[in-house]
Amino acid sequence: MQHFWYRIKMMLRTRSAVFWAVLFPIFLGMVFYFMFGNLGNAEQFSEVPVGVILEKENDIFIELLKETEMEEGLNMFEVYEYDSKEKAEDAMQKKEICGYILVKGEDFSLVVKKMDISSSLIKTFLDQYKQNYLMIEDVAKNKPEQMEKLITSLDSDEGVAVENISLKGQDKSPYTQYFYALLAMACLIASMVGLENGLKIQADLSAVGARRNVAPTGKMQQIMTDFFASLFIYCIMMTGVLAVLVFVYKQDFGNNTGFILLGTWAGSFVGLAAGNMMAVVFKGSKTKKEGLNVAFFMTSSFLGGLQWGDITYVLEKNCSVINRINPATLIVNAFKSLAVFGDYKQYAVNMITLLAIGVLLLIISILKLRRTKYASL
Amino acid sequence: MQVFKTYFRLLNAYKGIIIMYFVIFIAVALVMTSNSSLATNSEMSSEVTKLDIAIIDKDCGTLGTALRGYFGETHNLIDIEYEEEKILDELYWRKINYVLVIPEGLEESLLNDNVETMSFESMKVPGMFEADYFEAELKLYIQKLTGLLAAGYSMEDAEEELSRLQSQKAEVSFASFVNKKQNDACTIFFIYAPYLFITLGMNGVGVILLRFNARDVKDRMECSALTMKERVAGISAGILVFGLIMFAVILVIAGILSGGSIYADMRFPFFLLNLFSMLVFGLSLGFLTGTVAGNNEAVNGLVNIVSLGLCFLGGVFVPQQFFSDTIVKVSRFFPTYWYVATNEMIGEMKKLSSGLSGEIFSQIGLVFGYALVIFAITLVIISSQKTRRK
Amino acid sequence: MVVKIENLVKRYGDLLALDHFNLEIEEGEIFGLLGPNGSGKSTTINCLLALLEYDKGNIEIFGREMTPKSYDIKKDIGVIMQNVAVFEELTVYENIDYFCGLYVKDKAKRKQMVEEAIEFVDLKDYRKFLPKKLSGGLLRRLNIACGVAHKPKLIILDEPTVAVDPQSRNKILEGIQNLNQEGATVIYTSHYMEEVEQICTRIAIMDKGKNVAIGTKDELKAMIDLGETISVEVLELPDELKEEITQLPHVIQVHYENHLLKVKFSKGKHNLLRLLDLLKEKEAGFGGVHSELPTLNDVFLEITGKELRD
Repeated sequence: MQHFWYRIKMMLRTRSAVFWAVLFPIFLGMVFYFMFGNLGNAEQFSEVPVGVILEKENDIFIELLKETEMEEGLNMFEVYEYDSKEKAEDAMQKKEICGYILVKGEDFSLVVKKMDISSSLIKTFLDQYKQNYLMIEDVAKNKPEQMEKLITSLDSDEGVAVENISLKGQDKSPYTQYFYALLAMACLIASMVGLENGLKIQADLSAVGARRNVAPTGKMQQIMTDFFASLFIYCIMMTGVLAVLVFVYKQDFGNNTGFILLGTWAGSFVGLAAGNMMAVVFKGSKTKKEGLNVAFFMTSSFLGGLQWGDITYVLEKNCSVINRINPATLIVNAFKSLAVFGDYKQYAVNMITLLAIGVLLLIISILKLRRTKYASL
Repeated sequence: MQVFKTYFRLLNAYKGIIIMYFVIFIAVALVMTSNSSLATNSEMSSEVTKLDIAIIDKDCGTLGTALRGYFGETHNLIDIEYEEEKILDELYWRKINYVLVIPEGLEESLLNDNVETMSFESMKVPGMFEADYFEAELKLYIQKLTGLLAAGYSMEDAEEELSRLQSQKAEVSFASFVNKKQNDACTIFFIYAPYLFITLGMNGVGVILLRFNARDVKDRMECSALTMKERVAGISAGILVFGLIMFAVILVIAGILSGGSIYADMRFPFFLLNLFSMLVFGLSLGFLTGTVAGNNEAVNGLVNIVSLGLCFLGGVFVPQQFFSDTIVKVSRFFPTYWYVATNEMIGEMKKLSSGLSGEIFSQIGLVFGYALVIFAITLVIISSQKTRRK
Repeated sequence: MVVKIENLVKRYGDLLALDHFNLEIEEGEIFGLLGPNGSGKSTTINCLLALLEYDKGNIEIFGREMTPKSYDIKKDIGVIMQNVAVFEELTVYENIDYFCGLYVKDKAKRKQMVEEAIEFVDLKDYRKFLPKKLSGGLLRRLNIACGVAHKPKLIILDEPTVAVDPQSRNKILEGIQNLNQEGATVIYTSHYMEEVEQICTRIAIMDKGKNVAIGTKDELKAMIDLGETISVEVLELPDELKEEITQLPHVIQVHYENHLLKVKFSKGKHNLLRLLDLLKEKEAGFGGVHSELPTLNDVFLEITGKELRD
């Protein structure tokens, strides 16, 4: 127990390993908070500025274009009229409008800069106008007596509703996964401490290791003491990090906060075990192992979607096994399946895999360390 | 020369990490370039992306056939059993974007104008733009369908009418000043260059400078016969060559992606200049890191915070078109934002108008400006450290 | 018998580090392992501690075989390694307590032991210091305290005085003798022969992984022919005179350089007088006279044909 507390004391005094594991998610969390906090609020719609050039008048169309509402009190378009293509293109280049519509009576063509959300919106509006117009024309020709009913029906908001079979999760923002990836990486940074633990128990890697090897306290006991002391600190740190995400960055994990907390603990467990394993199993200098360790948690985080959230989907198509064993992916997926889908089974599967990997790594380290003598010091 | 050689000898010790960042960068850039629905070497098209849609027909009537026929034209229809767990899994891994369920009796209530009681059911990943888009399409279809039914059309006739109308679409063309290759692979690929330049700038320059700046090494060098000038020149040459290697790698990959055509493209010199500004910025960050970071661990920590922070805020990883006004206000403070914006402007230009060139050059200048400021700050820090040691 | 090493062989690839090495150490000794760098001293120690794999041989401590799991043996051993082995993040007191805690579980007992160890190495004023704030000598003392706090019966010191200032060095050597007087057996390796001569009761001289000589310092010195070296400042020494000196009884070697005559004698009486008489007789003007008894370096030189120090 004495050594447990001393290991904790040491961790708190080294700062750097602890420091980065905490600072990293809090700092980047802030960036994400600013970005996705706003993005998540459903890309607040603002009127799309659109230009119109009238080659042949169509008052009804123009009126509709001007008056269609996105929602109560918010028009879909902001309409500017131009008398020449040159002027409209000039405005487009200056980003005053997203595109312009050439109106030739009932025929339209749209000129845009690129296909993005705004252009798609204009295009959809034109398509619908055109199709509705033709439909009304057909009905007028075929069943003129029913015209009124058609117009009433089209005008009314009533139609068959589409009801979402709501997924059990509460998370509606596609960006929350970046927070999860952040947490995953924070967990895996624990491998730095795990590495340190592994280096400081081996006689051939550190002087302290030699001294601890000649003591009558077994190596296993010493490793485990260090391991659990580090885990203890990490669990506290992760709790703190999560608290910052929840209370400062207002990340609402709903009822799942407890599960997410557990997940970060499991993640730290794997991170520590992985670091320990790397220190014990691989040959080479301390610098080399540290490099390897950085490579480990960066690659794992990358594959878990830290830089780009969709990578897991690409992997799922091409090499799904990575998604099943990569620690960062497992952490992210456990959280995501919980938050988005309310899927406790997936969460459990991911967590169990995660813990199994951690235990496996730990067993590898222990087996390797049982080879108790060194070839050279 | 001695210092220059030492630079690369030290770099050699960190080659593992440097290679790793290269690989991550190349993986991010290539996967995103090839997966970006917009990126094609062919000319830009105005087609909307095809989605993977499943229509589960519990009603087994003409409505289901109609919907399948209609949406099968524009999307990929996926067959799947109605099994919630399986669907969740497919949705989770985005093998399906949208699941539409037609409940039993829906068609009948539709025909009897008794629509309030029944509704479609759907499953989708919340917040996913494509799914919302499809739902809007679906609603428009149903609106037209009910209209036609109200007008006395039979289901079959209405379906036929709507299929006929489906092809009636507004013609879309691109403005004359727009380069239709604006979303070619290279333009998209270049967006990710900041991630490489920043991570490797900080690792390849920062870590090495850290070694040169270590107290004992520094003291030894100061006692040596090398003049200050020679040392600075040696280190600068090392940084420069390292930077040029990164630059060359980017250009080679761009060449491969475009099949060589990018080198002959009129936009190429502008891309080059824009990339170079970012490279200089990345190196300047490395210079600063090497001076302020105390040890390797700090560099590793800083690299992640700075590179990811700048890239997310600059619109490298999440497209700027999704940014709200508030984010744009914040993002404008970061050079990566300007780099990405400039890259986009260059990508879509066809010829250089005076207005455009002014904007492009001033934005590139801004990035250089940032690099200069960081460089100056570093020098101030270095000189203040010197005075302190006296 | 505290330590018994039989036919120990250790290879590092092609390099034979220990070549059928034998050693026996009795209780109560301060046993010195002397040899130049690379002679196999540390390798011997590391094998003894069951840290290193070895190719052949037997090692017994306290009459039992030593293995990595021999915890009952390990608890009575204290080790002070060549490299300072302490935690950078722990203070002086905490470091000693940490390592002592690996041996002694009883809290009260340990506390007392740690205090005594701090007293012993005279680090009272530094108990709350972190290692990086300590000077080289103080750090070595901490290193020693960490190794002996649990009052071991066998203390192994592997070059504990490398890079230590003379004051700290004397303190360390004194301390070792004190520990020995309190009943501990000490194994001490060094390539400083003066230290070994000063404190060791018995000495083994190692070279190329072999034990080339063993005994008390007097026994070792008795093994060689050299009795004394007499140096005389002589302004001029004609070759005939040099030849005559060579003819004197007991003379082994005559060396003249830079006006300094060095004559090595085997054991015998009146060597100095005879030499000076001869010089007087031949009217060779001479100044300061200096006589040296043989050192361990001379022993080493005679046995191996090379200097102990490189």
